[in-house]
Amino acid sequence: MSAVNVMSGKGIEGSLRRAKIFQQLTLYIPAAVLALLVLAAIFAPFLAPYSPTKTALGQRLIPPFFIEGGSTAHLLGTDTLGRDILSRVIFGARVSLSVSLLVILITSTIGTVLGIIAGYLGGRTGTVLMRVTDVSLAFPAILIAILLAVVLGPSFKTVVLAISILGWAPYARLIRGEALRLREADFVAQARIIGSSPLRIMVRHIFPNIINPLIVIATLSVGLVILTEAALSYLGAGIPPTTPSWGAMVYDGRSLIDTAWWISLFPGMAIGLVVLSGNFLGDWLRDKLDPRLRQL
Amino acid sequence: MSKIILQVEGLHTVFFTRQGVVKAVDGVSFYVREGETFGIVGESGCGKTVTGLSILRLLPEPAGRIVGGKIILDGKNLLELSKKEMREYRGSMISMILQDPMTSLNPVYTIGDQIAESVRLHQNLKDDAVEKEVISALRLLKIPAPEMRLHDYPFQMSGGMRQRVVGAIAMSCHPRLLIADEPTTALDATIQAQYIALFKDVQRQTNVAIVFITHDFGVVAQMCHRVGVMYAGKIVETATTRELFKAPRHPYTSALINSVPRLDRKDNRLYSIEGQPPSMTDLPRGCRFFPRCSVARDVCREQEPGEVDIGGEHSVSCWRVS
Amino acid sequence: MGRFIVIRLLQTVVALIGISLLIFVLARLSGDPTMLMRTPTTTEAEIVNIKQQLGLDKSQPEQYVIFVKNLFRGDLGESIIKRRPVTDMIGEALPNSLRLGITSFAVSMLLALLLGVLAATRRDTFLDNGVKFLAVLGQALPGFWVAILAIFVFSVYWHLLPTSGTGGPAHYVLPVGTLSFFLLPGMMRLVRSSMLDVLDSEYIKLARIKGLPERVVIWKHALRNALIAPLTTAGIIFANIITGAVILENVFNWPGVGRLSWEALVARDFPVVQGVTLLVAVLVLLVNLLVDILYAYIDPQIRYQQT
Repeated sequence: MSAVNVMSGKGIEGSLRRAKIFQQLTLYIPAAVLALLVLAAIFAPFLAPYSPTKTALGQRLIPPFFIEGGSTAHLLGTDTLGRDILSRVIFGARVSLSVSLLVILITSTIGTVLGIIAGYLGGRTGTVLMRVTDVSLAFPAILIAILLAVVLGPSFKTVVLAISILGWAPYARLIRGEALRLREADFVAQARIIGSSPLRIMVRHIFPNIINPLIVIATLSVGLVILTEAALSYLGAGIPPTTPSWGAMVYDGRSLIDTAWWISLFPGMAIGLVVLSGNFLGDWLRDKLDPRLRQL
Repeated sequence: MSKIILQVEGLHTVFFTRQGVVKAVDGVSFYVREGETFGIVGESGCGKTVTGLSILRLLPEPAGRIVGGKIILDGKNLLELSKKEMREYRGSMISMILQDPMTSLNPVYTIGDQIAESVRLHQNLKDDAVEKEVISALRLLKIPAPEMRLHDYPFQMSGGMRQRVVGAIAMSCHPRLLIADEPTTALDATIQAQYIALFKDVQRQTNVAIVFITHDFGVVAQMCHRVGVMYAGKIVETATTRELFKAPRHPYTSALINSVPRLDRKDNRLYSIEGQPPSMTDLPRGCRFFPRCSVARDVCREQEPGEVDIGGEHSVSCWRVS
Repeated sequence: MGRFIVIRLLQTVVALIGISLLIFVLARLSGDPTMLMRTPTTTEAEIVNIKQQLGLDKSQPEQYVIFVKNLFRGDLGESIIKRRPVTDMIGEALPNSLRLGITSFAVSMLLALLLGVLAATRRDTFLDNGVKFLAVLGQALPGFWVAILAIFVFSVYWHLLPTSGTGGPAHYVLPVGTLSFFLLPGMMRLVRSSMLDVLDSEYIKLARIKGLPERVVIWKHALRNALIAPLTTAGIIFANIITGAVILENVFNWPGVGRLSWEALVARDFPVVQGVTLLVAVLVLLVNLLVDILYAYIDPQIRYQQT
């Protein structure tokens, strides 16, 4: 080791620097992509060159501009009904964004309340809640969604309900762990000594201390919700057809994959890019706010 | 005098971190004889544990690396061994006891399995001979009813018992050198005294050389024959335990000894050392103890003192002595 | 240990009752089933007759009891569209799904262990980064899309593999490959991170101090401990397999339970969807039970405490 292995630290220092640059890239690029998603969703009517639903049978199956036969009039080409793919991808952002925001709002609220109750109060209530959580975690959301779509008919509300109905479980499990840990903290003991009610302790002392992990898991779940929504739309259990959604667009192009591959390719790329960004941003936030959550 | 079994010369170990290069061990030299216990004392972060891990060549990779010096065990420089040769040395020639008995045993295997593993690896024995060795190791560490405890899992034992099991694992292949890294720190005071007495006994029976790493001068006094006082990656003073307590020459040693509460002194004052140890990425230019030293001179700021042998196995690195 | 299993069994039964109630309520929410059976020529008398046959003229609690009784006899009702017992339809489809699911699980589990452990022990190397990259992609790309692209590349463009359906081993490659691609990242991440935690522990240091070869340190001492944490998420992995199967069976036209439920969705055939959901619910509970028992087996601390 002494003579053979004595090395300068340069290699390691270099890789540390590279790691730092990489870390910053994994913040800025995902943040930019997500900002773009939000902008596309809000300003879709101004950004999209065409109406997403306008059919033009004379303009069917035009390839994207960089392929022979394509034109800059339809940058990403058109589908079987002559609808502009780019416009549909831009409008599709609305579905992904609105579903994921609403679902995360609902699931994080339910999960937080149940998690704090299970963690802080514990006892039989806690045990029952955690058993329900375990089963919910193990139940495939997609089947519930199919069941609901059959019972209630596919709609925006059905999709949100279907993803939320089990989506609270990961929150509940994480928050319970945090509440369990905080229950033993000195400031909670202090609050109990001065006679604060359990409700007050949960709201005033426990909740503010779980906001960081909550933000992390909420960000990390953006991708999962968007993926689930896309899968439901693909299966036809999602938002009904006239509204453009990325998953349904991939479905539309699936049988034409050998000739008009662009119909499926671009919406799929949009899903992948947004989910990737959400995951990266979540990872970054986790490292910043709560490195203990490495397991997530 | 018995033969020198371990000789460490000018050991340099560094860590590459995001904050820069940490010189955790910065030129450490000492030796240990057969049947002798050499203590390494110092505050946490002074590099004493890293010294122990360096001898075993078990630094966390790739951040930690030995960049200079020699570690000679029974005539062989460990730093020149191949990885495989070094591994054969571990457990059989050198062993180590870690600080926390609660976490240093594998929770999913019985203690018998964990000792037998070592025996099987280093000694070519049949199964019943292995079990005999395991039981004799447990007996050496005075674990009651060893034939029955063999089948226990770590969580079924108390902390003190677990630390004995760790000791049994370490001693199971009759090593020549044992490194004990704060083996009593995690134990209750009464158990601590038992454990130290136990180890003195083990040493008498096996003639093993021990490097005893601790921050506790009380333990040093009970356990060690000679002591090295470590500060910020360097051994600043080495002497026999008796000599060190009687006539400490380095101001840091005196300060450490004075910070131990003693009932046999009229003066009830407790001394503490002002300031913090220096940052290991940015050591002072002169003596590394200079910023906290109450008797420092100008030369201490400018130049690092060399090691001076003042006779009777006592050496010091301080400008006041040279 | 015995007591522990009995308690878990009882909990499973309670959960089953809960789920059957839930499904029953949903079934009533779906509206009058006779509406779907009507043809222009159906008379009121026929409707009343059908209602009597289905027990729809009785009170709700009575209907629930009948529902549960039928469940115990393995009677899940009849498909509205195909006019066949749901049990038969599921019975035909299930083996196909199991073949797909079990093969994919085995493939991805083996790879996850191998890659997860290698990534953890060779941190920040090319291999580790490659594994991380693969995991990131697998968790972000939509399954149906990757499956379609895979069909395009391997079947349409290169003519290497069949596009869909069942048959010889070649038919397995794409469905199993894509399903494994999505199961792998989660498992691999878990194995890797739990392995990293374990490798950091004192008993691993002690194993190295003993002079054990790195191979034994990792595959014997570290892995067994590292498996305890991921085991708790086996339920989630199971849910992922089902989700993946529902989507990919549809893309690859694989005649399993997933495709069955999709066909039922398109046709709004409630009894079939209900049957599949119930089946999966039972499987979920069984998996959870099995995990608990396995967990006790791996971790002696639990095994001993409960006796």
